[in-house]
Amino acid sequence: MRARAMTNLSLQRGAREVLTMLTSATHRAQTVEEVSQRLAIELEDVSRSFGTVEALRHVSFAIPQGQAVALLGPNGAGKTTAIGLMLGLRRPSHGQVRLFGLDPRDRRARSRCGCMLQESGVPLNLTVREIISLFRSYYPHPLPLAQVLEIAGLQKKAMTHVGSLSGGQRQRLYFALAICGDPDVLFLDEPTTGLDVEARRHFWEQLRAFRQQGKTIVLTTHYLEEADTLADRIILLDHGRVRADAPPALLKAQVTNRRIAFEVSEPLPAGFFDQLPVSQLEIQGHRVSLLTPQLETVLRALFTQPAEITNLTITEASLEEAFLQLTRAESEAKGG
Amino acid sequence: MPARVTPGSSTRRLVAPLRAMLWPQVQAEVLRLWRTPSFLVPGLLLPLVLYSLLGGLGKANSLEGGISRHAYALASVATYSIISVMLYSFGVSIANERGQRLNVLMRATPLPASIYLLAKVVTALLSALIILLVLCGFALIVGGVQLSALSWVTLIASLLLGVLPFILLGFAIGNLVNPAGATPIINLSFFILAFASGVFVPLTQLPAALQNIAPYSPFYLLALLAWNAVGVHIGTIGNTVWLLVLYSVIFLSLAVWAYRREERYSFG
Repeated sequence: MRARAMTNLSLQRGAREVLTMLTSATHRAQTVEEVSQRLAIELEDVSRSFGTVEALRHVSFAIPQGQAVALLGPNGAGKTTAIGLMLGLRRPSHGQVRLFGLDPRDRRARSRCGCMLQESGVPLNLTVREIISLFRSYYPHPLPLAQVLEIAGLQKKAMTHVGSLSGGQRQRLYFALAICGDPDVLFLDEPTTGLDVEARRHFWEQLRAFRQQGKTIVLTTHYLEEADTLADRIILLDHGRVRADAPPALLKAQVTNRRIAFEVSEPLPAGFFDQLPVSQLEIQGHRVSLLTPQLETVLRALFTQPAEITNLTITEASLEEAFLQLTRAESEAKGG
Repeated sequence: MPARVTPGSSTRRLVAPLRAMLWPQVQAEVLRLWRTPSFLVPGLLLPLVLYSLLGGLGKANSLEGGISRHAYALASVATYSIISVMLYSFGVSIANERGQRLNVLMRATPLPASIYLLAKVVTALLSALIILLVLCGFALIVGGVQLSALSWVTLIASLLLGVLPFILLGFAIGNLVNPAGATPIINLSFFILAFASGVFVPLTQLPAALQNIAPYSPFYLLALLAWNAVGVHIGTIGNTVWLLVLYSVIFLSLAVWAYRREERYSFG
């Protein structure tokens, strides 16, 4: 019952629906062709398998130019496969992927993309300056070298050999290589993995500046905070399927869970919560914290028992909790 | 329906011109090769050592049949060096870049795979030329090898042209083998090719079975071109050139097959 409700709630939105969304209001008179010119990326019923493993199954979505999209999901959900298909590094087993209306392998499409890939190599015996200059030569309208170094914060490392850079500096170099061609779309596959908190925040600032120029960003991440901070839209992938596709706030609203935290004057009777719809129950002395989809039921039970309740706070679920609830609903639906 | 044109799009270039990509790519490849320690020492110094060991120094005595020992050593070592550049600097670098997933990063850029490869071939030929010039200079000044200007040019030109089958073989092995195993596999195939070629061990001293095969080994055939260029006439040239062409065709098929296999595996 609940599982079916969750499936209905998932805001799966196909390419056609985004087109409709775009054509409505101000652009009502435009043709589909004209609108698709303003679509950066389109996936139409895309499946991809590796041997017997189905990495993506019937995935459809469209990303208009200027949107920042986070592909979110557990390991093995198909995030990296999706990025690989959008970049033309892999071919779909079924369906179609288009970048600016072109085959992603088309040089015209590639000239408008930049990417940071997971675990991709870089020549170690070139200097930072040399490799950025080399990559600039691949693009029709590259950013000036000095500007690339400045954006990536690598001015002081320009003459350093790539092999001597620290992990964080190497990550900044990958960012520099991704943006040096002044791309319209930036693909980032788990860009901040392995960065410390400060470096991550710095990176987020750079991405926000990039967004303000009207550029499109597609990033995969397993840091929910990152998706929440950077993205206008979250596409939740799980087992190769789109589970949800919505703005972060809307996605959180889809999840009915609320977190309740309070203090009690004396311990609640044993088994008090057994009959109540709660999860993630934590009791530490007088402090109690729990998640519930039925806020009113739990509050009524709390206030009709004798112990005094103080410092009560009710917060909306974090994206992480929303995410857990959405994926759990799915596996429950599968299990029975 | 008239196509909607975004302002400036008619004059704005959609892709970078290919010829503007080749030169920076070659420059970067040369820099990388020059900074690889395993290139400089074995690539430049080993030929000089081999030349000295093979009798290229000292009294210019002759081998049987009036063959100059110095010229013979020069042509043999030149052949060896140029083949080793194609297999090691070119073939192993392709395998290593697959191992480091550098090919994936490059593939996501607008740089066409053909330019990437062409730059590698040009770099390998440039470094082969440098190695030949150093070796010839050493043979001329230290070894006292006397050749006509035409012979010097013929030696260098025939080696640079005749190395084509080895470029293709290096490319095939670089795409075929497991990156971690590239160096040992190339060591082994290079050793067998070199041993069974009569370049370092005279044909007459090889095991009987090899004596019959060796004259058809690609290593021997290229050496034959080099020996002829310096006036050591061991065999005829006509068949040699055709056999090298035949080897090129075989290695080209192998290279295409290996490349397609790797494409399917990594980018299919």
